[in-house]
Amino acid sequence: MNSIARSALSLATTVLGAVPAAAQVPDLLNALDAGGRAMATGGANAATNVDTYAAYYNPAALAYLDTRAADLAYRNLPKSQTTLTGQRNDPDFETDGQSGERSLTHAGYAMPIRTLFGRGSGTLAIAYTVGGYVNDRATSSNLSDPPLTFQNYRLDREARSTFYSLSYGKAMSAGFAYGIGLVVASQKVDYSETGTSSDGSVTLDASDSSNDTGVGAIIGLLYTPPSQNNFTFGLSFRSPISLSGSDQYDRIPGRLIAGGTYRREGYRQGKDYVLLGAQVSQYFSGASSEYFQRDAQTVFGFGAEYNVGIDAGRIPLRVGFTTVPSAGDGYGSRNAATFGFGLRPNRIPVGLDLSWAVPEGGGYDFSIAASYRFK
Amino acid sequence: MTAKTLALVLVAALSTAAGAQTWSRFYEAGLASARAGRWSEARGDFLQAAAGRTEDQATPTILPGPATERKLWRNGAPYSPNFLAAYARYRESLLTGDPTESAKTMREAASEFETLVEKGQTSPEAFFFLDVVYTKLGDADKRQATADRMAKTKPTFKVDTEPLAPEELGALGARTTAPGTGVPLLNGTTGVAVTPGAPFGAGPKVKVGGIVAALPDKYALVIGESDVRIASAALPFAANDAQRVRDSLISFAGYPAENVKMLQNVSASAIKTAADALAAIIGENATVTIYYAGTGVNLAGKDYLAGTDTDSASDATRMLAKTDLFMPFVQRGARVFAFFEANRPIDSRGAFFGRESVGIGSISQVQSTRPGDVCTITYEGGQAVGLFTNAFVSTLSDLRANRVPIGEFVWQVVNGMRRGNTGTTGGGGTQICTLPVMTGMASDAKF
Repeated sequence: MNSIARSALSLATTVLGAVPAAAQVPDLLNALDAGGRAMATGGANAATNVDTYAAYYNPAALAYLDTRAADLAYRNLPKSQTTLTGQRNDPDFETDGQSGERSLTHAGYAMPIRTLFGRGSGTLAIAYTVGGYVNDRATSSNLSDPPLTFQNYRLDREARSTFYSLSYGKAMSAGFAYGIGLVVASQKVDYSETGTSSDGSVTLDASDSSNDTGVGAIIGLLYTPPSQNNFTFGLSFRSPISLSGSDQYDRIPGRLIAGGTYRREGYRQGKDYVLLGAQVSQYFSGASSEYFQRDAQTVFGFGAEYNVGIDAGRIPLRVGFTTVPSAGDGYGSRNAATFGFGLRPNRIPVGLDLSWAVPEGGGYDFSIAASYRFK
Repeated sequence: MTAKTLALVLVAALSTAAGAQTWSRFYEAGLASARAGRWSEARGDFLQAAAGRTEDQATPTILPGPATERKLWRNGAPYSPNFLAAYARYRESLLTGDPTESAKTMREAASEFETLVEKGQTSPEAFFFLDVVYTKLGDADKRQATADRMAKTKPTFKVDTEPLAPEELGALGARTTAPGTGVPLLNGTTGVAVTPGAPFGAGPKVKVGGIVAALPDKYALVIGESDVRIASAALPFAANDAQRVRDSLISFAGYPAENVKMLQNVSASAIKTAADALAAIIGENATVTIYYAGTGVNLAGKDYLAGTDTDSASDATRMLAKTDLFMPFVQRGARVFAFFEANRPIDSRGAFFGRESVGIGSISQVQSTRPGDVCTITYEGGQAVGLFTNAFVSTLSDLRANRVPIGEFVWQVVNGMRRGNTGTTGGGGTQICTLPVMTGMASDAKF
């Protein structure tokens, strides 16, 4: 990175660090929901759902995928638009959330390995998951920094955390299952800043981008009490992931997920059932690098999935809420109400899930996800 | 916690897991044996399952797993090892040639059904088979006692009915047989007022389902050869197809069970022996259906059928000539309706199975494919079924008649092969059967 770029990024960090939290960049750098079934329940059942997302959230759940499975999720990558006014060293911020572009955020394939080692040998999964994303454009037509005033000021920042997981889950006795996995993270960071002082004496024109990788590990547990099998508890731990060669984002924080799901059946003469879920994710040990501060962050999700049984299959109706606080200077919270529905036909082994999230800072999220269970 | 304690806990946990799987494995092995008609093995497996998980359960068994993705064992089927062990015992009794031994075995089965009822597992099926067994044993008192008990009980306990024969399921479903037409008793008399499967004490009702009335002049020889040793020529689903055809002839086409001989994976000479034996007991003007699923070849213009001892497609000495299969029946004056489910590759000399015509007697022959085509499959209940067999069985089930016109029947089979069960017009497919090739028989002759 050249010196002008460093100086410019330093300036931007100073500016962003001085603004009040409510107006700062919505923080999804740790906790972008990858889409799929869990998204519409505020992420509440991510640690207990049995699908290929488990390779990323909790590999223990893979233990109960007893057929080959494939999942895809396609969703928006939220962005924000910030207007800076006032003093350069203490500006006022006006940030609007936007939906952003759409992208594939999860592709996973799971395969029980009983064909190799006999029945009950566990399930192996490989998954591509986008797990963190921020994209903000800050602009100002009149940003004062005495004796200068910057016109046409623009600061673009985009960071995207992509995880490639190779995970394995296996059921044990007494309702327990465990999972382990290897996680390769790819961290992309793009930055650019432009602006001209009103007297023309200073021109900002700096940009930088990097794509760094790191390796971590994930372990998970899933427990369904045999005598209370309406409850399931999930726990997973992902190690912090140090990124090689990066001087903008040194380490992706570790993650600890604890979640629980309660199932209640017997509605509408036994045709329907509901899943109630709650989950907490703690992000920790992120490196406080110069440009991307990552403090501890606690994310909550609550949600319900009401499954309507029909002759042709099942229609899950979902609602939830997620709270995502700021994890560092320059970032704000991004709490969102979520909802969605799915389709699980009886005759064909496919599933479809549509999910929406309405964050308090503006914009909306949308995900479409498809699943296929091989015969 | 010491290492020793930890090891003990681990061993205990693994043992629990192994135990949890064992009952399921034995149960499924029992079902497989039942499907193959190996009732003694089936009973052993069901008893082993019961040893691992003792009591029958009417409600679905929830498999271990998270609440988010609940899976039910065998799609929610009841767990009924004790009921099925008793049922297998009953089926064993039917295979015993010795009447004394058969009666003894039936009493054991009845005792086991009684035990289940005593436990409160009052399934309609348990009452049904108690009634059947006591009818066969000629024990009117126990029949009446069973009827009385059923009248006082609400038989709602669910059992796994997968291994039950179609005719039994039909009878259970219909429950409306007119009184006085009960199953034959072991002592040669007929049943009394209470009819198996009918509500006890009920009067005559209109039959809406169940078994088509059997006609005594109908006979069938059903052969399924899955284990032919000619490389790449075997139809692995043939033996199962034979079972389906046998069951459908009895249930839907009026063939008395005792007149239907089924052979699965036997030698070519055994087919001939069985054909001779069946021909020996048929009466004048009998109708004989022959269904062969397996491997056929044409050598020097003659059609041959392979058995389990056939290991070469060119060695006629280890195969049964088709005419040798027909002749015992033709010589008895029977009308023979033959159906062949076999691949029909055309060899370098232009020969293919089914090319031979038969010039004597009254014979109808239907091939499951056109020359040059092979047999394809579909799936029923998770099991591979020959497309032809599937359409054959389905058509019989639709027609439900004890005099089925061959021409109309085959056209419906053709449509069934092309359409599956998806509709009533059009259709397509890579395999269709031939129309009947007749010798001395009208196109509306009935079988």
